[in-house]
Amino acid sequence: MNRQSLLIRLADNNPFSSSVAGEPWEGRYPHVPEINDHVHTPLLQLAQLLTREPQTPLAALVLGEAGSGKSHLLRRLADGADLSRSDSPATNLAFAYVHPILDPQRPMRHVLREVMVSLAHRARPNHPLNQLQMLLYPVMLDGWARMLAKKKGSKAEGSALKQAAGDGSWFFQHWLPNQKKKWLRALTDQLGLLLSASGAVDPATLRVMVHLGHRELAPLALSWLRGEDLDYGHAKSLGVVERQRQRLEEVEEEARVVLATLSTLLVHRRTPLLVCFDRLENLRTPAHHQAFEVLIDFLVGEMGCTLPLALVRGEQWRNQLANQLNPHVVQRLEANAFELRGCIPKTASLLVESRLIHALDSLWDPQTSYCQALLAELTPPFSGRQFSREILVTANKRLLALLDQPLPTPQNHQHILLQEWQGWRDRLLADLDNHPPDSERLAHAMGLLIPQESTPIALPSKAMVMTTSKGWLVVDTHQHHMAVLNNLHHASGLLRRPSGRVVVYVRDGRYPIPPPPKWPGTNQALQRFRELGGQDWLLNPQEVAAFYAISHLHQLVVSGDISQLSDEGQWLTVDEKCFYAFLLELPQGEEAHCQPFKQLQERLNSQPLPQPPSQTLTPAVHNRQLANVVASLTHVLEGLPSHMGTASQLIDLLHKRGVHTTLQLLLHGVEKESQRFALIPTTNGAIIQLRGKWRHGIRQTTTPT
Amino acid sequence: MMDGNLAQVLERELNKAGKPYLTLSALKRNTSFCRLLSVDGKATNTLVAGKLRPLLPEGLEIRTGAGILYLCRKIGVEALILDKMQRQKGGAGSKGILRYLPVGRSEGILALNQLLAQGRLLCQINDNHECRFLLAPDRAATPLSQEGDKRQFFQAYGSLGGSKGRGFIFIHQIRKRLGWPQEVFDTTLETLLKQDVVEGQQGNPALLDPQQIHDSYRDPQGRLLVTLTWWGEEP
Repeated sequence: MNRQSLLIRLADNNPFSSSVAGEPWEGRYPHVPEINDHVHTPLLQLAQLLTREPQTPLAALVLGEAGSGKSHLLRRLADGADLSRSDSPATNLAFAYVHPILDPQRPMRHVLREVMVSLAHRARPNHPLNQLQMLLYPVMLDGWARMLAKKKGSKAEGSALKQAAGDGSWFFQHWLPNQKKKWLRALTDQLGLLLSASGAVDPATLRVMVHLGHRELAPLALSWLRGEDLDYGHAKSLGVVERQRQRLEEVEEEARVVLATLSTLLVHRRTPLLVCFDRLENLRTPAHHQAFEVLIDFLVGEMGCTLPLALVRGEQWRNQLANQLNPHVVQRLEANAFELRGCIPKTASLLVESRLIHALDSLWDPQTSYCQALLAELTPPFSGRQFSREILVTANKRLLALLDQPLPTPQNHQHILLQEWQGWRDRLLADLDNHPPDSERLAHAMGLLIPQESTPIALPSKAMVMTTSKGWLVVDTHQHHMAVLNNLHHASGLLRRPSGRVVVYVRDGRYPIPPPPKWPGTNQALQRFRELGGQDWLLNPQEVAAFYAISHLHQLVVSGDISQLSDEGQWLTVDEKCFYAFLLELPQGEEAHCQPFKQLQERLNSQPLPQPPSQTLTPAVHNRQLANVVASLTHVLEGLPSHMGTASQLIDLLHKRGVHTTLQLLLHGVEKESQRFALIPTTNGAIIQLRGKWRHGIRQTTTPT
Repeated sequence: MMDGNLAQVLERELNKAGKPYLTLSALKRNTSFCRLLSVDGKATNTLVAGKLRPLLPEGLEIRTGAGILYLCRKIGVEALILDKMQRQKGGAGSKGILRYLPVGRSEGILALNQLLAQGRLLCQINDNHECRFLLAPDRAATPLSQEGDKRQFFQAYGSLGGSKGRGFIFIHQIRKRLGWPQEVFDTTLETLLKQDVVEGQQGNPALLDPQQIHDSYRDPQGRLLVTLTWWGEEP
């Protein structure tokens, strides 16, 4: 064994080639406990405080430069959260990672989704159970024991309970899936009784949670817990009723209820949940600030045993966000604020050595002179402090020089962005199960690729409607046939407008529309949409990953996480201007990875079908329709709180009353009847209100137009 | 018990003013301030000062200058004068310097004489036999002790909202506040970095204009540091 054999191994497996930590679950290199331990330890202490006093209102803030180790800290916290060893206070922690909020209209839904996606991750690598199952497992055993005690169960069941107590995977994978509905209902009841002593419990959420061990139903249960709507049959198999949503507020309220039940479970288990809000730099509009404030208020004030942790670049926090957010939220976060620090030379040496040990395994012997010499060569002395990324980039350059390999040349930003995007796409493709269909992310990516004329409108269901100069994109990932039907009706309505633009109905291919004879009405609506010249686009996994990666890449760019070390030792950050230039280039390329973007442009550039003659309305028919819409709208508004609603909500309500209208026709009617309706433009779309004298039957004395 | 919201409002108003002091009359125009103090805009400055004094956060005080009440950072009379001299290009007479400063007459004259004795101010006589005071172009001739430099550096850092372990304070702002010659500032900062008393961050220079970048700090390795955090013991 000598220096040469070390270098041969390192040439094949360079441990310094990557200096950027991805998502918290993706790490492959060991942690160096000395790095930023002054932040890691107090954060764990805060979490442990919650095990003793679960209702303590706590929040924390971590400030650090790009490359200072924010993502590494998160990875260390995620790795340390090991519910399979919940008897140890240091590991008795659940970990959730929250991507930046995309749609500020639904913050609760966003955080519910992100928390549930995180809790669906394994309790630790190769462990058969996920975090949520680990949280539920002991409570379920207690519930089962109570059931047995109550009904004096059979000896066989008693021995099964003993086996389950020693083996969680047997319980979830063999026992639970084979139980009848009656048994599951009884278990749910016992869970409810046990948990209700610790806080609010939603029976429907508990009913769904007990299905997490079922082979076929577990994905549906997770989907429901993420706040998604299930179709009638699926909801019935989980023992819950369908979610019938009319308004965005209801979507938010449902998310609150599920989160509150999760909070009760956490309090009962005395297991703190760390909810990490990474890359706060992406909170750039007042609506996003407000959404974040709502979340912090809820997590701190209403969720027990929960520690929200925000991570942001220090300079950005001090000079922008701290002035833009509500002072009491700033105060809550700054009560436990920590700054990350660079490494001293000794820690830098430990960092480089940990990577070498990982790559060389048994070849590495720190006692030998050639190992010590190699370590010294890769870690040049420096005064003061250096951040981890800087140390790893320097080590990489030095190692390449030792291997006589070409040094990384200063790459242009387009190339860096392409590499990052490809990295994200490949990681997403390999782990699509943990990135479920998300209309907001798809709409965000497509909105970046196609300039929009206005802010996307979120329908009460999950569809996002985007208006571009070339046409409309209706992005839908809904699973309920009625919601899909409504979204297709909306898309068809857009087609009927005399604007001559195309409409593309985009759907994540993982939630396809089942072919006839299932969903007959929805399939008919899809057929009608096609006949009208609309295009439906079912994205395959490669396309899904390509678009999602664009959205993630944008958030990385905004947070200043994509940078390059210049020859002068200066970090050059890739800014949004470069990012948009990169997006312009993407559809122009001939490579396979450019195809989804090319296709998006081609679909929007295609010529719409001419309107069939029957669609052209005579003035008399138009006026009749208008009068009908105005009269029905008055009825609908009378039944709403404050006699007001958003335009998209009202279109849906009118549709339910059998009055099919488009946004254009509705707004035309409102403008024409301005003495009857008030039109209030907002950033989230127009709000229509019925004026005072038209309320409560007064309208009957006046003749509508 | 200090009101956290009030501290933030005061800090924001002082930062907005771009100087380490602000008249109470100006402060009363801020509605958040009036709400937090439960006073209206018509309340007398004496009443406002009386209500504010027990709630003042550390590092701030109420001072009087020529009968005007000011909210002021606790940085000392000399630093207040030097700060004004930095902003007042071309120098001024002693009366001009002390006018609209939260400094009493006798303490102002005392501080001016001390600054002259330290060589940090120069005195020039013009054609009308009037004395004009100017900032000394090179303070290196009369260096302060290293501990004194460190203390002043920390005071300036603190006056911009930094504390131990809580920083990300712009270096160009500290440089401006101290008003030291470039060489002296750079040497002091280099020493503090080497001693691990402060830690510099490269930040995002895109947020700064060319002058602010010039007034930041380039370390011996050529890295541009934009912000810093104080980690050492408070001097």
